[in-house]
Amino acid sequence: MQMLRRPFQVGWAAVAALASSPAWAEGAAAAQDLSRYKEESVPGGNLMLIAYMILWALLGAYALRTALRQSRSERDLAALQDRLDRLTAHPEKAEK
Amino acid sequence: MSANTANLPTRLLAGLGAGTLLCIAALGWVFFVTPADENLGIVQKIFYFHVGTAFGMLLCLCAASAAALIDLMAPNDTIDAAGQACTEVGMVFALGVLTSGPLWARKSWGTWWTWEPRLTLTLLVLLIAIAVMVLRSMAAEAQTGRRIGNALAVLAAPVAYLIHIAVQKWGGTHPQVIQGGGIQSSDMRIAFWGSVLALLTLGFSLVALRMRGIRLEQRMAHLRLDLSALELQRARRGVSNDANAT
Repeated sequence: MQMLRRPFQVGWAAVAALASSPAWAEGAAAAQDLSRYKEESVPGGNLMLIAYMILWALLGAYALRTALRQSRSERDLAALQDRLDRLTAHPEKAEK
Repeated sequence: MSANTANLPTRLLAGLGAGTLLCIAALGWVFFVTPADENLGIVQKIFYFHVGTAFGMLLCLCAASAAALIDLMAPNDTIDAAGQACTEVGMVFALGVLTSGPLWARKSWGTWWTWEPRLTLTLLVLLIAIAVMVLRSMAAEAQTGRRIGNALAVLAAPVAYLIHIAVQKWGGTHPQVIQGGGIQSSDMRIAFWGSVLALLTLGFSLVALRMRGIRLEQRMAHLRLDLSALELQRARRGVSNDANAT
């Protein structure tokens, strides 16, 4: 136990000496100095405009794509139905 | 085409028109009547449509999940079309939530994104919706794609529930404005519920529009099969006639 006490006392004395040194005090003061952290200004109006633009562009693009796809499907379906009708009603004409 | 189907586009157009008009009215209320938030400023106005979009996303994905479960148990083309339409619209809403949210977070939290529970779960539900659509479109066999897609889509409802309870259960940076009774001003309350109503009307119309498109595609697939069968039958008949002639 005596053998352990001696290195502990030496270590403690070293830390105390370091803490009382001018370099330590300067470091602590620098750490306390928050002036280098500048307040960031985030433009809220721009963010809001971008959010609304993206949202409406997404919904608009989806609605437009769905409507266009549907009108193409309607055309294809009519053509297919017409072909099927001709094939079942007049097989000879449909062949031509 | 039945009278019911023929009437649908008019009803759809009416629904889409009503949704659009409600959205314009809600936007007008949000920008010209509702005051800006004292702490967050003008960026807080994202909140009205961000939360409405999130409601739409949760409702669509829960409906998609329910439709997928029903279709797994008793396959039905109409239910399947409804499920697919809900998944697509839910995905569009999820994209809206995940783009408007970070823009708001940048101002209020000082960061675009944090891996907090609600945000992470919202990303997960978006990935589930995308995976369902990719699986269905890329499956070599349509029926297999439908079954696997439906099995995956069922997961969306539990995740949606977890998104709903995430803040109460695990905390995180997300504010609890609605559950916490945070909307004090009556103008803000009108703007909020008006936006929710407008977005849900628009979302419902989009689901109906897409569902009609999917039903048309299903009908086209059936007709193609009929046509192929008929052509095959004719070809066989032609072959047998030639054989008889020789």
